[in-house]
Amino acid sequence: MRRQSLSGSDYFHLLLDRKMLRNGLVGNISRIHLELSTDVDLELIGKKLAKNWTFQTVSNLKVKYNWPFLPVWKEEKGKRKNVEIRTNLSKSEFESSVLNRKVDNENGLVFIDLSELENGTKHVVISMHHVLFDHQGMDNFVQALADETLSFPLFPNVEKLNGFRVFRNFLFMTVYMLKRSSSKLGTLVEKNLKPKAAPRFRVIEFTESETEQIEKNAWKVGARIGQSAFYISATAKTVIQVLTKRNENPPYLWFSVLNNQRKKGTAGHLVSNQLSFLFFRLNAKTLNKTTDGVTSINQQLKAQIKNRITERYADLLSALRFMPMPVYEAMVNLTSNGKMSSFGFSNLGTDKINLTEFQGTGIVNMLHFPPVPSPPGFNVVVSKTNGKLKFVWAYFDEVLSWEEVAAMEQSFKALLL
Amino acid sequence: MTSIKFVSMVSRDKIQAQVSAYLTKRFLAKGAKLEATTPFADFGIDSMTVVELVMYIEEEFGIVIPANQLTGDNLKSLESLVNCAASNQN
Repeated sequence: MRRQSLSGSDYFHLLLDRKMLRNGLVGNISRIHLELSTDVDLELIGKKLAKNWTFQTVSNLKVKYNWPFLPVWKEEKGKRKNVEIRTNLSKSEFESSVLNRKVDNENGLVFIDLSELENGTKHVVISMHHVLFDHQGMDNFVQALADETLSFPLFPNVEKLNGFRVFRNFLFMTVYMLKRSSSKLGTLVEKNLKPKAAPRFRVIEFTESETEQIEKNAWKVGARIGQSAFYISATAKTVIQVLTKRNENPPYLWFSVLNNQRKKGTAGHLVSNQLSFLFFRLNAKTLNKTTDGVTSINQQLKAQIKNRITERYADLLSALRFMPMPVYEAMVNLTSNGKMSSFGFSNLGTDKINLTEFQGTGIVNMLHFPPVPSPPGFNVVVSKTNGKLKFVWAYFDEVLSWEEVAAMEQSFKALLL
Repeated sequence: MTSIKFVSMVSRDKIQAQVSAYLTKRFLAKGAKLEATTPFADFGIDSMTVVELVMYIEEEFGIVIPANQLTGDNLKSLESLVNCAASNQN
């Protein structure tokens, strides 16, 4: 295997992982959950996966920190057994063990659970550490698992960084972040809260006609070129409604939104994140009207594109790879007093893989469960499959009560529809 | 990107050539070639990239596409985006 450094966003995901482990969570792990048809032979799938080149190669990867040099990917010798078949699982066992499976640098950064539940339904859960994959990498990985005739390059092409530019952008972004974020951001969670149980997931699905209506409504309130501004504004409003009910009146919400930095026009590589972020601050007053929220997001987006914030932030992340992890953590804590953000939001766009089969078996349902860093303890992922919008809310019981989530869902649907 | 330039009328083809060159240099993988009629979404070009293209057109050619014309149909492909931009030249 060629020598390959971690990207800046890989190293950032390790930082998030460190913070999550510190708060007693299983780590920075994304999961794809496939429900398969009930006639599938899970043992046969397990055997096929054990021979799958992509799965075995990725299972054997680990991170070598290598300080004072850049962290690199390293291949472990020997085969790791990173597939487990379990039968007769109750729904709660499935949620607490399989949907909360820990994967780490020591035992492998990816694991596949093949489970049969008491009710006879059959499930594949692919747990992937976020240091390995961005969303496109996950898509590629799942496709290569589903169909072993597909293969993707393991790593991206190495691009030579311009040291002067990286240093200049490092300074620019450090000042930018220190100026804009602060500890006054509204958040649903006490800092350093240690959730006791696995995260909960609430899936909000809309029909095709509801999705069409939502997209029309997005247009009406000023969301142009995609609907993200509308979804973010509605999410922010539901968060601020909860905080207001709790008699907390934060002056603003602050959050980051993922930006895909991969070059377009190719499926690309498997391993290594190529991400950056955009940053938004929404004043509480702005959220009184959805239109105002959307306008504010649009203005901030345009200003950040003009200032090339995503590229500059990617350079900042690249430069921070040289920092030992504890120093890196201290720097990030400094800008937000450990609160990080008000919530997490990712729009995965239209589902491009739209898998219908996994290893020759029909897929009944497919869900993407995001990692849930705490703080902020509430993370939203939206995607569109077959013309239907799907929101996955991930949170902890300590962050949102059942009643609060129910009220949020009701309000969220009303805002969108 | 800086402030809006004042430019004279440019041909539709020139706009397309320049936007295509910018898109290729800045966003496309090595060797990837985008046909003008290929839907952006099929090529993995996301809304953020399209926003940047619209801003590039605004800045480079002084063409402001009115908000009510930023529809899915007008922003579907390079060809439709350029057609929309060209029709908004003063």
